[in-house]
Amino acid sequence: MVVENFPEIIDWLFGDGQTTGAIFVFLLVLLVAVLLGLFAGFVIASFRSGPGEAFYSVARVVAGAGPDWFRMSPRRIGAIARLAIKEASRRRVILIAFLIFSVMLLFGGWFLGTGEHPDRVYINFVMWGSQLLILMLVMLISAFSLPDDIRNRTIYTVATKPVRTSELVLGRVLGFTAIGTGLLLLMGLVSLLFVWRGLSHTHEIAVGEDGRVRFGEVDRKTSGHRASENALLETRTTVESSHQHFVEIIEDVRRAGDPPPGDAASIISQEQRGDTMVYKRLQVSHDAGHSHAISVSGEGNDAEYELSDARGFFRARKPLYAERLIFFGREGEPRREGFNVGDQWTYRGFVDGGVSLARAEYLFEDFDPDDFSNPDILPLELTLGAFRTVTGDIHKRIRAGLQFEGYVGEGEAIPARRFRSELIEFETEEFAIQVKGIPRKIPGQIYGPKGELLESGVYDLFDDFAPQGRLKLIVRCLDEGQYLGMARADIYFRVAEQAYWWNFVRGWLGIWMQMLIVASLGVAFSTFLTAPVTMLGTICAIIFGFFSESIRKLALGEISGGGPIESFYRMVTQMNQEVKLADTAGVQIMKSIDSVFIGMIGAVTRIVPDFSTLDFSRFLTYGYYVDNDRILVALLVTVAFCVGATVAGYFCLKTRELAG
Amino acid sequence: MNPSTSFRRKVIYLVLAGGLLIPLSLVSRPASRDRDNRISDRGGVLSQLRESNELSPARLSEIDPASETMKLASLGLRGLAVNLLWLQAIKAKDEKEFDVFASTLESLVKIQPTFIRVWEYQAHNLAYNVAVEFDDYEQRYHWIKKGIHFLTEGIPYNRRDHRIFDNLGMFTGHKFGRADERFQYRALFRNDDAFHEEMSRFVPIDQINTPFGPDNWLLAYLFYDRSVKMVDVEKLPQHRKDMIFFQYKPAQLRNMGMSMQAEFRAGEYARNLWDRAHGEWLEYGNRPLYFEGDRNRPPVTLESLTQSIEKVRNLREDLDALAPSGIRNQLLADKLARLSPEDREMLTRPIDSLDDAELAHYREFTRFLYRDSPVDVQVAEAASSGNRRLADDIVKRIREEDFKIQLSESFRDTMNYDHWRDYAEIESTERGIAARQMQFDAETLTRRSILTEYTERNPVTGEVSRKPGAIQQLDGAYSIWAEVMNDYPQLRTGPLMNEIVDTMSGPGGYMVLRRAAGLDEWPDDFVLQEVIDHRARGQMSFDDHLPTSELLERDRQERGRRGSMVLPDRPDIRFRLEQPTP
Repeated sequence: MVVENFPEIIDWLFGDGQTTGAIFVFLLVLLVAVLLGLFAGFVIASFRSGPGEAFYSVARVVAGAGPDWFRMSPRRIGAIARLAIKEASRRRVILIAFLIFSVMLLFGGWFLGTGEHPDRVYINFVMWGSQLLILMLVMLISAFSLPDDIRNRTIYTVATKPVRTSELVLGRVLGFTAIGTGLLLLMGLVSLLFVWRGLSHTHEIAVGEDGRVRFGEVDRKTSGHRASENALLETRTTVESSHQHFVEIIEDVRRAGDPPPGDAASIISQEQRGDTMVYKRLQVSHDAGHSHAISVSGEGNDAEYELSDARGFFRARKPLYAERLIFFGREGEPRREGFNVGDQWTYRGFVDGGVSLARAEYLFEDFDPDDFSNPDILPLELTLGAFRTVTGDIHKRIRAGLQFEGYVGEGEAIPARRFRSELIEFETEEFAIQVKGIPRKIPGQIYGPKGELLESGVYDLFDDFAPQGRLKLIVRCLDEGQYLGMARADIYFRVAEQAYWWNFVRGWLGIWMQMLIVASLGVAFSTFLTAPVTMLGTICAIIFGFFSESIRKLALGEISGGGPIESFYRMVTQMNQEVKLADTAGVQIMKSIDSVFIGMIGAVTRIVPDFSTLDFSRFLTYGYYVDNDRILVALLVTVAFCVGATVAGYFCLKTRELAG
Repeated sequence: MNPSTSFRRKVIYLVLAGGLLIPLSLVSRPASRDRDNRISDRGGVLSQLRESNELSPARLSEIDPASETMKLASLGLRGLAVNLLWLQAIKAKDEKEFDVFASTLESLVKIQPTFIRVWEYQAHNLAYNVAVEFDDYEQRYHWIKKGIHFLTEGIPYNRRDHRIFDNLGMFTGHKFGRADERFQYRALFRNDDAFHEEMSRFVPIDQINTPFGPDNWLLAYLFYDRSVKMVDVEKLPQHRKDMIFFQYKPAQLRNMGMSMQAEFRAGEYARNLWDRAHGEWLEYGNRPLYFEGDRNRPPVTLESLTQSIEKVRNLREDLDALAPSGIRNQLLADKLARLSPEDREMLTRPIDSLDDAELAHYREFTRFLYRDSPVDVQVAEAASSGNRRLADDIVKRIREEDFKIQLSESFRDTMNYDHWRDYAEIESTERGIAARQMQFDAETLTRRSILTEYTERNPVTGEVSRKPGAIQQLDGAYSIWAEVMNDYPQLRTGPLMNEIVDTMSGPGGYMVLRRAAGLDEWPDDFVLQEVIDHRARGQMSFDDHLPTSELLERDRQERGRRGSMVLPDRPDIRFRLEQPTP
C-alpha cells in the first residue's frame, strides 16, 4: 500500500529542486490564459464590429471588470445563490441523487464485508459512490441552469435587475455549491453510519458438540497468519461477517514492578516466578483488519467468555516520516536508489543481506518527544518488501535489523560522543503494517569521533541520540542472498492517533473541493455553450481530472502504442502495442499528426484540475490522517481553478449578447 | 422549423421505432416446446444463437441477483465497466495491493460471470502469481486457497462447463503437490479441516483420507473425476482433446504415489495405491480416443497398438495371397538389403515376442518399409483382375488400421504412456516397494549421519545386531533397480531412471555419501553400470557426472593397472584419478 504525505506545502508551492513549484506553473498558465483570452475576445469582437472597434470593446470589458468585481454586493450574490438553489430544487435531481445513494447503500451490503480488509472495501465504496453522485449532480444542475434560462428567456427577469455579471456568475457557483454541500453533508453522515453499522459485529467462542469451549494445541498455519510467539493454547470464534478469529491463551511474562496487562478482564491466572510475574491471559487474533477485546469470568468449565465489538477498523494514524531516505550499496557506497529486483513497479528500492554493507538510512528531523502521544513507547510502523534469490530457510521469513544513530547536519562538526543502539532483529512480514514498540530508553554504545568505543549502557532516544531532533534509523537485511525492499513512506513513527470522525470529515473535504471545481467549470462553460455541450465539456474535464496522470504519461510518451491515430491503426490491424511500426512515409505522417494531438492532450492536462490531488480516499481507506499540508495543497488548487473558471465565465457572459 | 414540422418528425421517428420492433420480435422469438418438452419451434435467430452458445439464463443455472444488479448498475456500459475493472485489477496486482486486487476480482466476475476464461485466468493469478509474492509459505498456502475459493465461486454460473473442475484439479493437485514447498503445503493441507469442509460442497470429501491424513492429490483426482463424469455421464460439451482430458484423472494417483514415497516409508498402502494407479492408467489406455475430437474418424485405444500391428500383418498376408507369389519380397528386397542382419531377423519374429524396445524398432522399420512407399498398392496392382477389387479393399483397410497405429504411436509418445504404465506396474510389486523402502531408509540414515554399517543394541534384550547404513541401503535398492532394468530395458531412460540417478549424483546422493564415508573409489562392479553407460550413449546423462565404463576403462589403460576412479568432493567437480601405487 502506498500512502504518502509528501511533499510539504512549501516544497509543492515553490519546488524542491527536482520539481517545478506549483506557483510558477500557475503564473505561467495565468499569463497564457490572459493573453489567449484577450486575443480570443479581440478576434470575436473583430467579427462583430471590425478590428478598430474591437480594440475598444475589449478594453471596455477589461476596464469594466475591475468595478464589476470590486463592487459586488453580498446581498445580491446571496439572492442569486438562493435563486439557483430554488431552481435546482424544483428539478428534483437532488432527491433522485439521494435516492440512488440510498439504493446503493441498501444493496451495497451484498458485495461488501468480505476479504482481508472489509473496512477498506466499505470506505472505498461510500467514498466512490458519494463522489460519483455528487459530481454528476452538480454537473447537471450547473450545466443546465444558465443555458435553460437563456433559452427560456427567463434570464431577463434577472438581467433587467441591477445585478452585475460577476454577481450572476458567482451567485450561481455559490448556490450550486450550497446545494451540493448540503447533500454531501447528508451523504457523509449516512455513509459514516453505514460503515460503522456494517463493520460493527462481535463473535462468540465456538463450542464443541458437548457445548463446551475447548482450547487446543496451537496450529494456526493454514490461516496464513502466525500465532503469537507466546501462545500456549488456542481455539476459534464463531464465523461472523465471513470471518472468524483465533482466541489464544498467551503467557505474558513481566518483570517485577512492571504494570500488569491493561486489559485486566482477559487475565485467567497470574503467578509469581522468581522476580517475574507470569500472566496467562486471553487474546483475540487480528484478522480481517481488526480484533476484539475479550473478557473472562468464572473458572474451568464454568468460565464465560465475552468478546467486544470490533476494534481496529477506524484508524487515523499520524505518521512522522523521515526527511530523507538514502540507500547504500554492498561496499557501503551511497546510491541514488536501492537495487531493482526485477519488479515492474519500482516504488521500493531493495538492499541485500548477508556479508554486505548494503543498508537503507532513514534520516528523521524534528524528532521531538512532545509530538508523541506516549513518548515512552514509540510505535515504529514498517511495511517492508521481501525478495528471495535462494530458498533459504523456508520456515522463516526474511530477517531485518534496525539500528538507531544520532547524526549531524552537513558541515557540522562530528560530536565527541556518538550514540548507536544495539541491533533490533525481527522477522519481516510482507504486505502488512508491522508495528515495533521502540522503548524510549534503549541499550546501545557511545563511540568517539574516530569510532572508538567509549561506553555501553541504556540511553534515551530523544535526549542522548537526537538532542537536536535528528535521528537516523538504519535498516539492514540480515539473511544472505535475500533482499528487503522499502520506500520513504514505508517506515515511520506513529506519533499519534487522531479522532476518526475528524479524519472522515477531512477526507470528505476532498470530495467537497472536487464538487466546487465542477460547479465552477459547469457555470463557466454554460456562459457560452449550450447545456448538452456544457455537460460534455464538464464530463471531459472530470475524466481528464481523474486520469490526468495516465494522460500525462501518454503525452510524455511513457505509454507505448502511440497517439490516437496510431492506436486506432494498431487496434484495427490487431497489432500489439510493443511491435515496432515499419519506417514508411505513411507511418511518419501518422506519427506527425499524432504528435500534434499528443501535444494538445499534454497541454490540456496542465489546465484541467488534477482530481487525484483532491482525492483523500486512500488516507481514509488505509487509516492515515489527512495532514494539513494535503488539505492546504488541495485548497490552493481548488481556489485557483474556481477563481479562474469564475473569472473566465464572467468574461464570456459579459461579452455574450444576451438580447440576441 | 415550425411546430407542425417538428410534430411530423416526431411521429415519423415513433413509427420507425415501432416498425423496428417487428424484426426485433422476429429474431428474438423464444423457442417453444411441446408437451413432451421437445423443441417444436427453434425460435428466432437470437434465441437459436443463445441456445447454441448456451447463454440463456435457464441453462446457466439460477440467476444471481448480485450479478444482475451489478450489470444493471453499469447502465448499459458493461463493456466499459469491465475494462475499467480489468485495468484496476492489473494496476492493483502490479503495485502489490493484493487485497484490492482480490476485491476488484469479486466485482469483475459479477459482471462477467459466465466468461469462463476470466475465472480461469484470475484464479491462476491468485493461486500462482499472487501467492508466490509472499515470503512466508503459510501465506502462500493461504493465497493458493483463495485462488481455489475464487474458482469454486464460478461453479454456479458455469454448471455446464467442466473447465472449472479441471482447474480445481490442477490447483489442488499440481500447486500443492509440485511446488518447491510441496512438503510444507501437503502437510498444511492434511491438517486444514476448514478447507476440507469447504471442498466437501463439491466432492465426496471422505474419499481423500489415507492412513497418513487427507491427501491433496486425491482431492484433485475427485475434481477430475467430476469433470470426466460431466462429459461421460451428463454428456456436456468437452473443451479439451481426448488424449489430454482423460489422462488427468489417472495421473493424479500416480502423482500421489510419487509424493507419498518421498514423504513416507512405502508399505501396503503404497502398493495398493500403485496397483490402483496402474489399473486406472490401463483403463485410460483402453479408452477410445478421438483425434482432435473428430467423431467421424474411428477412435483409437493406446493399448490396441500391438493388435493393430498384428492386424496389419494379417491383412498384408491376405493381400499377398491375392497377388503373384513373391511380389512383395521383390518389392521389399531393395529396402531390406539396407537393413542389418539382426534387424532383418527381428522382422521375421512374431510380434508378441518383441519387447517394448524391439517393438519401437519394429515400428520404425515397418514405417521405413511400408508407410513411405506404396508397396501395398503395388502388390494390389499386381493382383489378378478377378481379385483386384478385394485387394483394393484390403489396401483400404490396411490404411485405416495404419492411421490408428500412427495415432496410437503419437498419443503414446506424447503422454509417455508406456513409461508411466510400466512405472506404476513396477511400483506396485513387492520388489518396487522394497527398493523404495531401502531408499527411504537410506535418507533417514543419512539424516542421522549413519552412512555405513552400524550396530544396534536392543534396549530390552541387550542383543547387538548389525544394521546396514545409508550406503548399504542404497546398494540394496540399486540391486533391485538393476533387476528391474533388466526386465524392463525401456525404462533405462525416462523419469524412473532420472529419479534413481538423482539418488546417485544429487546432493546427499550415493557419490557424496561414499566420499563422506571414506569410500573414495567407484565400485568396480556397480550393478547399474550398464544403465549409466546406456544413458551416456544416448546422450541422456545430462552431466550427471557418473563414470561410464569407457571412462573407467580408459583410466585403467592409462595407468596400466586395475584401478578405480576416485569420487569427486562434489558431483560437479571433474574426476581426479587415483595415484598409482608403487
